[in-house]
Amino acid sequence: MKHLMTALGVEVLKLKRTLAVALTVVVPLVVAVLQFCSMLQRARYGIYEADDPWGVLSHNMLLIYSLLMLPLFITLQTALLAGLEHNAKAWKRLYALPIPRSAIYFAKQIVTLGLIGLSMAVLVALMPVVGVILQAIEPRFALALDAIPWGRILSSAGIAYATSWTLIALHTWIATRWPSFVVATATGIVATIAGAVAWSSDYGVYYPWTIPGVIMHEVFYPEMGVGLAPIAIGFAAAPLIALVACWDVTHRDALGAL
Amino acid sequence: MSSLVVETVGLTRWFGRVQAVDHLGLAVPEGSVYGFLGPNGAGKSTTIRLLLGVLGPDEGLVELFGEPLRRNRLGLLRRVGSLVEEPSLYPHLTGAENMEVARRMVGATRAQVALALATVGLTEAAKRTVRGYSQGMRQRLGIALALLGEPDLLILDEPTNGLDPAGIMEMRDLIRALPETTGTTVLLSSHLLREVEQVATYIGIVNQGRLLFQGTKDELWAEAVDRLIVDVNDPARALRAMHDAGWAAIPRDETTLVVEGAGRADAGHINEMLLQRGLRVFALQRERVTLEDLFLRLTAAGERLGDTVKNPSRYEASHVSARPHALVGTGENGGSR
Repeated sequence: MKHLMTALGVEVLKLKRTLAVALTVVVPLVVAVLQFCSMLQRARYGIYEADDPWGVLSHNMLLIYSLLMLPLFITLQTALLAGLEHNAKAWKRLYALPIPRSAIYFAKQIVTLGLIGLSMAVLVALMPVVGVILQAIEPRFALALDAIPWGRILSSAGIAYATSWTLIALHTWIATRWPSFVVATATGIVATIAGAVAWSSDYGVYYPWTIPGVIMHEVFYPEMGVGLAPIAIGFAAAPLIALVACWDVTHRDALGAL
Repeated sequence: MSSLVVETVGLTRWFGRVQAVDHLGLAVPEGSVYGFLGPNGAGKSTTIRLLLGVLGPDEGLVELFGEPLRRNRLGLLRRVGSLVEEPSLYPHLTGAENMEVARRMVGATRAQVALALATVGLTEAAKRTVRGYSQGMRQRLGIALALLGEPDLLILDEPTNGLDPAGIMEMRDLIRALPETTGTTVLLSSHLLREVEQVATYIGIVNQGRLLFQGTKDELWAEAVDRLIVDVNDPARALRAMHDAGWAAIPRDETTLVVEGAGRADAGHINEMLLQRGLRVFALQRERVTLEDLFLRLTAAGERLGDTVKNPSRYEASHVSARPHALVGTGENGGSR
């Protein structure tokens, strides 16, 4: 545990002057702006989501985020974190230091989890901001602050976040294993695009890149009845992938050492 | 005899079909500056990576401080500082932040960071991001990282890369002083003979993954035998005559021959023998074989020391070893137990 804490501290220090932290704000901000524009546009056609305006706002923001932004964001963050070592050819030095390789690997994964968690917290925090601005611009929205469905928002965001560990474990593995930034990002982009297709199929509930979106959606609309499969896959696959990836990465010759 | 800080037994590593390290038996005595010499691609860096556990061996054993690396990797690495080829630095961090990253991992104190930076003359520059550093400054910072925590063993792979002449001199003085001031053993890898020659107390020469020589600098100097340049009217006849008489002569150009291992007394004998056979000798010139010649001969031939000497009797007389000088044990490459 001491080694892991050391490695974590070091990973956090390495984030200085990188885009990693800035992206945790920029990505949810983009989602918020998109949703703001979307609802404003719909209002022009007289659609004010009268039944559940906060539900529509928060669901859509979470859906855009978890289905499209989250996989790409994870891809980018893991590639960025691993890229720090690849670009500095630092694996050979890291592996020659008196710290377990597994601590280095898991520290990277935990830092990514932290960044994604921070990003989701920013997303949730932006929801009332978007609502208040929309209400100010278009008073026919019934977006009263005291009507925000925090329970649904927090439970859906929380469960989407928890199941994103599978993606984080997968992408940390890919980004660490292959020094090429292209491999890491291309995998994420292709998998995300495939996810957009898989989402509307019967297999979306089993596809790791859509599972956070599926589960989030299920919290808002339980009548969809996707069952426990995505949750089970999301929770069971993550530690398994993380352990296999850790074994693989730590039992190989140091990357870039050949 | 001092104990060994680094010892490898039968260390072997393949990359596909290429054998980068071939049953290497390295023996680095405590308190020494061990110059690990070899041309580019000889297997030096691979050996160093094997010593640090960055690469795993296909065969053989690495022992640091008398303990197998495999058994206590973290504990042993805690006593080792290293710079492997170019320094691994994070360009977006300052020099001080790069040191902080290493400090936390090594468990060093902030005072040790300050000392290491001062040692390499980067105290002021440490506030700037590494992106703006020159190659020499990066190299210095890499050395500061290696020195962090006052390691018992310092492994430096081509440490003077990118340094200016003044920097090289400072580096040389630093390496030379380390065993005395801090008791640190230094393993210095380089393809530059002069660089190693000036600081090393022990020398290992490697080529094509094989250890060609290992011993003290004096032992290596002892191999630097004389040779005689003979300018003669008929070199072909002179060559036959010398071979008949048991001299290891080889043609140098159209008019001269080289006789390896021939000293002052030999010059007289050779002159007399050639005259008796009706040959005309225009000049006899003795040349001292330098360490550089020896190194080039060893590495170019890719054979063990002495194998290139043609005349067995001269070979024995000139103290040229048939195998690397064994610091310990008597096995192949001097590393077996």
